[in-house]
Amino acid sequence: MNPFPTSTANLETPYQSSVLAPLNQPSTGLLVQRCNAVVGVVAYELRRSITPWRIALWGFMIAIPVALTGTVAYQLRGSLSSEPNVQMAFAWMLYVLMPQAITMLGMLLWATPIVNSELESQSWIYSIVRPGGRQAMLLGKYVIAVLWTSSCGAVASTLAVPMLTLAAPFHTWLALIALCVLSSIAHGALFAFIGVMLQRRAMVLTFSYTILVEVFLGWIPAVVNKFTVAFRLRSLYFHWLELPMVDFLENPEMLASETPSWIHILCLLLGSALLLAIAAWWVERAQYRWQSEV
Amino acid sequence: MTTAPPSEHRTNLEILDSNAPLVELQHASLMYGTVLGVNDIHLDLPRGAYALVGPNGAGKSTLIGLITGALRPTLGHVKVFGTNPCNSRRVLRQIGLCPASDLLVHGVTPRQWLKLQLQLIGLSTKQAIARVDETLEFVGLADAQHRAINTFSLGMRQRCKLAQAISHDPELLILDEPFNGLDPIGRHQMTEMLIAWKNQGKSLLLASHVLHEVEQITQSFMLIFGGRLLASGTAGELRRLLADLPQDIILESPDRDRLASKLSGQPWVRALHRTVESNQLIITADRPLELYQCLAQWSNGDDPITIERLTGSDGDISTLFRLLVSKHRGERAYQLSGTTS
Repeated sequence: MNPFPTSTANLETPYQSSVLAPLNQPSTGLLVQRCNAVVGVVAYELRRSITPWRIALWGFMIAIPVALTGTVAYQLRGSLSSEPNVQMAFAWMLYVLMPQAITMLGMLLWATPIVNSELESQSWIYSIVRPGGRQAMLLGKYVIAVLWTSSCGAVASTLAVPMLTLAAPFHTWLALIALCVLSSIAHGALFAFIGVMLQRRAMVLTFSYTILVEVFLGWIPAVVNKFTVAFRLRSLYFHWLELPMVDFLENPEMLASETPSWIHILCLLLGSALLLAIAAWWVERAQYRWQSEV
Repeated sequence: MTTAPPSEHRTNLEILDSNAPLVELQHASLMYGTVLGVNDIHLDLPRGAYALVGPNGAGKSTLIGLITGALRPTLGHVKVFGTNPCNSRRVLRQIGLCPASDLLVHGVTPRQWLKLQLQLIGLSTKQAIARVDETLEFVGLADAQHRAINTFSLGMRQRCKLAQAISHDPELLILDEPFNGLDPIGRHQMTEMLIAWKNQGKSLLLASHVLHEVEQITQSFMLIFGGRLLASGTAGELRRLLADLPQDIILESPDRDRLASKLSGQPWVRALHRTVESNQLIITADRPLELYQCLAQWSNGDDPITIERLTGSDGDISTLFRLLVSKHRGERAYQLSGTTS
């Protein structure tokens, strides 16, 4: 039995004028509505992310590889720089600094705390009470992380490449920028996935994963490294710059595959899409502790 | 201010099942690890305005989390407008939530934030901007729309939270401690707005730990404590319930001994205690209403008894909850804290 009196609309009250006008439901389909939500998050986060602190961090992340490259270029200036081994070393240094170090660090900072930063600022609750709000927040913030990080890698590459005496500077620059974008997409999806799965210590786990799997395991010439992002990026770099395979390994295929580039790109994009899809599925069902009261 | 919707658009009312109850909870329980957040709540609410009253930590926010689909019940089922909010998020479009937690976004204006909240429900940028203007005007933040939210006073941030809760024109508005941090004028404005909301025929669920604040808005109460729904009904019914429960009533009177003598013969008096230092008499009465009637007679009779001070438990929400918990546990004997004998 219901103990409450049912409500009745009383349109004669003096408060009628203080009522917000009704909102018409949009006639667009669900997909368009979800896209509107993601676009909204991207626009909002982009505006919000342009802060002195964020720009300073962005500049700092560009400055480190550029400074390192500049130092190396200064030390190896003169005839030595045209030797094939030095050229190879330059190419690998740029690869390690740009698509590897910068993008991984950037994604660690911007993709991993996608949900955690919302929980800390107590704004997650506003996303979860909107249909599709959780997924829009995840995807929108992921896009912003990719934009910030890949732009960081692109600017750093643009500044660093001219410092070195490279045989094909434009070609190298183009390859680095493409790899920075691909690396951001792949690492971003991976780190966002870890960040969504874990409410606590996501940063620690992501950092440990990066060191153990992408840095350590990714450089071990074994079958397992084929499942790392580093292997796919490295193979692409070999292809695009037509670098010679290392001759001190019995099986150099383990370090970089000669499979066509499009397969590596497809692996990276499909892997990222799969990770994002799982993260989106998870975030929709997750019950994060959104406030302290029990 | 209201306008007829264009024919190609649908209003919220049209896409809802008009026969579906507002909220249905079937033996819903929620565990936070080993801590019980909500304990076996069974509830069936038709559309209307309700106040969820309970002290801090009673489980109000957890219950709201279940209703909004933010939390999934460990046991039992939850439905809002006939739909499980965890399985079908579309129903969230009909819910507006103003949470208790403070709004801590930095470097963002209410305009930008509100636009995001509207886009999150699927509105295009153009539609969202148009609605933001209306909503900010409505909550009285139009003049401050270009200021960062983190520079706002608590009351302004509260209005900001309210704006996002009502901007998408939901059928059910849920407010968790909406009066927190508001000055008296702000409280009055909030109360008026909520009364207007209710009078539109829309549903309202108001969580508060202060009974009298919500009494002006609705007469339908649910009392929650320790994750359990202890009682529900109108304010009058709750008072009657309280009146039927044994209570401690403290009297201060120069005629204390004469009063004690008269009371000792009454069948509804369970115990009498006299304090040593003052003229206090603590009466444990099974039927407080009868005590009040007798006191009125004795103080107006031929040989009147002077009563200087009477302290009852009515209106004291903590006492009310303790009494209800005692009743819920089936306890006959109870003792209010802070009394002396």
